[in-house]
Amino acid sequence: MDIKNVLAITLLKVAVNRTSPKALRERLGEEWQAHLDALPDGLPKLSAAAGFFWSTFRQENEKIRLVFLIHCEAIFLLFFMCSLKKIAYLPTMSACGIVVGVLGTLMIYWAPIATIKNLEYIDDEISYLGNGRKLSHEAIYCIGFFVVLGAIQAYSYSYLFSQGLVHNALGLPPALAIGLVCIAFACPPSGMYVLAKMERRQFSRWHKKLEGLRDSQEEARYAEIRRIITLTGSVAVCLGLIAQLPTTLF
Amino acid sequence: MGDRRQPRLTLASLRVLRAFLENPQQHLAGVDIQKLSGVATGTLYPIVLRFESLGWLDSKWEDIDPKEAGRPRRRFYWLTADGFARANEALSHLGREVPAWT
Repeated sequence: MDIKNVLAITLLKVAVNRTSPKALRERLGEEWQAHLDALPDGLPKLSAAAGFFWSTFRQENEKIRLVFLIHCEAIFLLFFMCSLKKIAYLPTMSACGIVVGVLGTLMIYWAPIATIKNLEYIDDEISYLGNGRKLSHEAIYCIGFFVVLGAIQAYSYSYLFSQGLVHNALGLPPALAIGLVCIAFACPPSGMYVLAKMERRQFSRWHKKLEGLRDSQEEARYAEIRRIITLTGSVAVCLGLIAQLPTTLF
Repeated sequence: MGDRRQPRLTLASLRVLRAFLENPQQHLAGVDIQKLSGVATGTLYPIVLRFESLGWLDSKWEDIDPKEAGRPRRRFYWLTADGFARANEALSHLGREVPAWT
């Protein structure tokens, strides 16, 4: 059998297993198989199967989760670099705070002037994310990757430290220093887990609330979405201010 | 009555709608829609599912026994009356000639 066809069938199976909701799996599995059967062997089949795989991301709107995870990862890496004194801590915090604060302010200003199309888009996104509180596979893989990476880094760093190859700038007892290093390397995955869980919880709440408004007037639904945007903006402004606080104090 | 929400009408979704409007009485399988619209499979199925959930499209399985036919069943899609009107409305904004619903 042609390798391209084998790959196409494998991609199709993965795509079907990734399909959400589960009720759609059987239907799309058969439908996509029929689609592949109608195409000539080789590249056309493979490219169609790659498309099915890609479409599972679109169905679940997982791009949002991925963007969220990338942001989490970037923030944690930033703090991690700060903890290793690769970047000056306070100016970085301040810069992050200003960016987050400006974004939050923009959201608050945008909320009342957002078009119905924008609000529908947000409504759709919340509906797609749904009620489930389970983390997506992408989130789990991402966290898992950082757990493994953190363990390797913590082991290597501790080994170098115990051999005296890393300078003990704070003059801490070796056991405490190694413990702190392990905690520092455990921060990114645990922080990502907490943030991803918080995100799921929040989306679940919003979804339930909007579901409750499903049968009522459309305007009430849009008012709730505007409230969600304003609330998110306000939280961003507060976080931004808190992040800027250390530079103000010292 | 179908869902009155307006979906995001991207270029790909308009191409899918045009494929249906040009063949309003035909039941089209996914592969046919792809050939007529030129939209890639990765974009096509989410669009079709979305239009179906909004009531613009309806669908049914091909009436064959997969074992006898030796191939999986296809799923056919067609425009509903509401979908036809809404699709025409969407495309007429772009200056397309509106076909009649027969």
